[in-house]
Amino acid sequence: MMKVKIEVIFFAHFYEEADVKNIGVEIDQDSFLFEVISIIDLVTGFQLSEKLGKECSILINGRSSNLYEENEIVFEDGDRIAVIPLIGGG
Amino acid sequence: VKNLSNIPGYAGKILTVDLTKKKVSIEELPLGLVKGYIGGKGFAARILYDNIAAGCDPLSPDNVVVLAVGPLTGTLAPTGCRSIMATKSPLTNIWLDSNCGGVFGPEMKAAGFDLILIKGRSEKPVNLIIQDNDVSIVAAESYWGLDTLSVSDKLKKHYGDDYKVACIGQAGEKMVLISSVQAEGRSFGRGGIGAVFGSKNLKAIAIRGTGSITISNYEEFIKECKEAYNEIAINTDTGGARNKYGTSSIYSSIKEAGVLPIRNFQGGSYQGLAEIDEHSLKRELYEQDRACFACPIACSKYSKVKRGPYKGKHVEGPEFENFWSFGAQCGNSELGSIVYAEYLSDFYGIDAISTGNVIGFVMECYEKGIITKDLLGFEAGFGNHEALIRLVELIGEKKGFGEIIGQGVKRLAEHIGSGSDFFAMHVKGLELPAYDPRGAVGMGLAYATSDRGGCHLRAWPVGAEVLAHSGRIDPREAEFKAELVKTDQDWFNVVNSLGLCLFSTYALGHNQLTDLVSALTGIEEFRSGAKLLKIGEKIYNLTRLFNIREGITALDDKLPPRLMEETLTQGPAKGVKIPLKAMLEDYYLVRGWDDNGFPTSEKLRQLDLNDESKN
Repeated sequence: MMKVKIEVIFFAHFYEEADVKNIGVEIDQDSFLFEVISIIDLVTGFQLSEKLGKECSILINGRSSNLYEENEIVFEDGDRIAVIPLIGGG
Repeated sequence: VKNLSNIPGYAGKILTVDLTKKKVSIEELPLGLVKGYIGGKGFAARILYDNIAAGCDPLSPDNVVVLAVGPLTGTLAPTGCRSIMATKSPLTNIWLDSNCGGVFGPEMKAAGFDLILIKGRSEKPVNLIIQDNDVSIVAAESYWGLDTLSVSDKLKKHYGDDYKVACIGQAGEKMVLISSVQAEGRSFGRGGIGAVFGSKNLKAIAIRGTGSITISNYEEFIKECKEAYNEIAINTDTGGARNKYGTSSIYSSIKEAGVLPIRNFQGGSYQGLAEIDEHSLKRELYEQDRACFACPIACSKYSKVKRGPYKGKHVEGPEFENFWSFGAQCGNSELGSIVYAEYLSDFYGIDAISTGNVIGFVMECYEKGIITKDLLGFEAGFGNHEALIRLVELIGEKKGFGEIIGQGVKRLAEHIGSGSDFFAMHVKGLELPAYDPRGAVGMGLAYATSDRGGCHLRAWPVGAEVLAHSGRIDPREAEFKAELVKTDQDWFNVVNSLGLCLFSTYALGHNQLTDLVSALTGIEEFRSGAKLLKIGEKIYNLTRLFNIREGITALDDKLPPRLMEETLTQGPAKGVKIPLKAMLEDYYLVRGWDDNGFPTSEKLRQLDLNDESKN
């Protein structure tokens, strides 16, 4: 199984909650998104699986995760998952 | 108790000020206006449509200014602080309303007025001084030439600290077309409303109110307010990120999604871009929270520069929009200069969005050799923070080449030519704010159809396109955008008529706002979200009719050539072309407008705009 290293970034107050701004996470290249989220939970202690959709959303390389079918994501080295608050405009 | 109006929730009076005749008159607020238009923006739409003749010169005595508040302004309802100032814009020659938070609106309502109509032109500078029913037009020669902060201080010293002041600075006096009216640390910022004050020789309005209003169902209203405060407290935006980071809580997310315009919408990067975010703002600048009247969110910040060449400079802000306009728009990562540029914008009374936008344009022209050092007297490439400050000063004082720059980016591009209109970033003459619609194409439709030109506060589909967790709204496709934009435009009109802040809507839905205004007023016409939304739609159609009367057609519902013809070369928005034509076709259809962008007679009849349908 090919391993890739992705970058997970926490925006706004999630930086404080995760106690890290960005962190590299190693995953199998053909991981499903829910598996990646579980790994992020384990590695950072930030309960992303719990908070997703309630407090936060994620952007995968700048695109909303809703726009991906689960089986269409093939992660590459250097891909970015940004954890963003569910927020309105400024 | 004074000022007990017959209409619960309303102060009950309209003040008309004729600056030419030096006369003031006070009349009762008509119930028909209330039921048909709610307040705030709705009142302004009706009054401006009826009081401004087509083709009126915005800087002539024939133009009028409306100030209006809503039923929830000045009440306990969370964020009930807003007031509207509306006029025909000298910058765009179309509809303009500018919305301000802070404390000015609540004070105006306490003085007994839901609406103030200012007409004519004084021969000499005057201030309008209002204490409840006592209204006077007072000579203001000694105030002329002063900056906005000094005007406010001087008026309070003379009349008392309890007075709330809205005034112009040097820019408004000199009729700089991007000048603002400043009110207690907040701004009626956009579209050159300061120049209209200047044209009327109106320097300031100082207002003090001691009255109160009646409440239709007191217990119910208090209960609804408590519930609304709870909703705001537990919401991840209004109870979380927005308080911590201010309006810039959104900064990293917008940048990550490829929606942050960089270097006059050219895209790419610049030195320092990666290091600047909401955390650096909080760490380097924020000192205190600031909140508007009745606001539990406190998104406003008081900032002070802690080090570097701008050490000690301070401002209420910087807001996200100005963090962008004086930052990424100008390729500038010197945080202190952003603070100082916003301070100077408030000081002179100029719109900090338009000012930063047009300076970014000047910097691109400089790098392309269209504007030279000989013309400006100094170098002015992207990232040159010293040039940024000098340009703000030249605009504010209307000096040197600043005289042309202060006319806004559309006129500046026409003046200098050389194909610069390709990258003059405005819609209908109003400079674009901090969202690049190639990263969220619905924002392109919102800009193209906004009633005051390039504005982010008439609809904000960006949230649904890139920041929401639910739904599958593709930020690169036309699908769903017309419905999203129309619904926002209509509902934002409701919020801007009620007197609440748009930020409340991230926590409070249609039902909660309906419950609040129903308990307050008891008015049957406000008893459902659908009824309110229909009034919002009516207001949107009325401002459209105002613009059509001024010559606007579907041909004007467009975006700058750069956004249509130039794609971004990196990031999530790489290669995206904005499907504006498809979105507009959908939009006119859902609006009930024809191919020219005119409301059909049938639509106007549906909205009870029967008289207008005959025109």
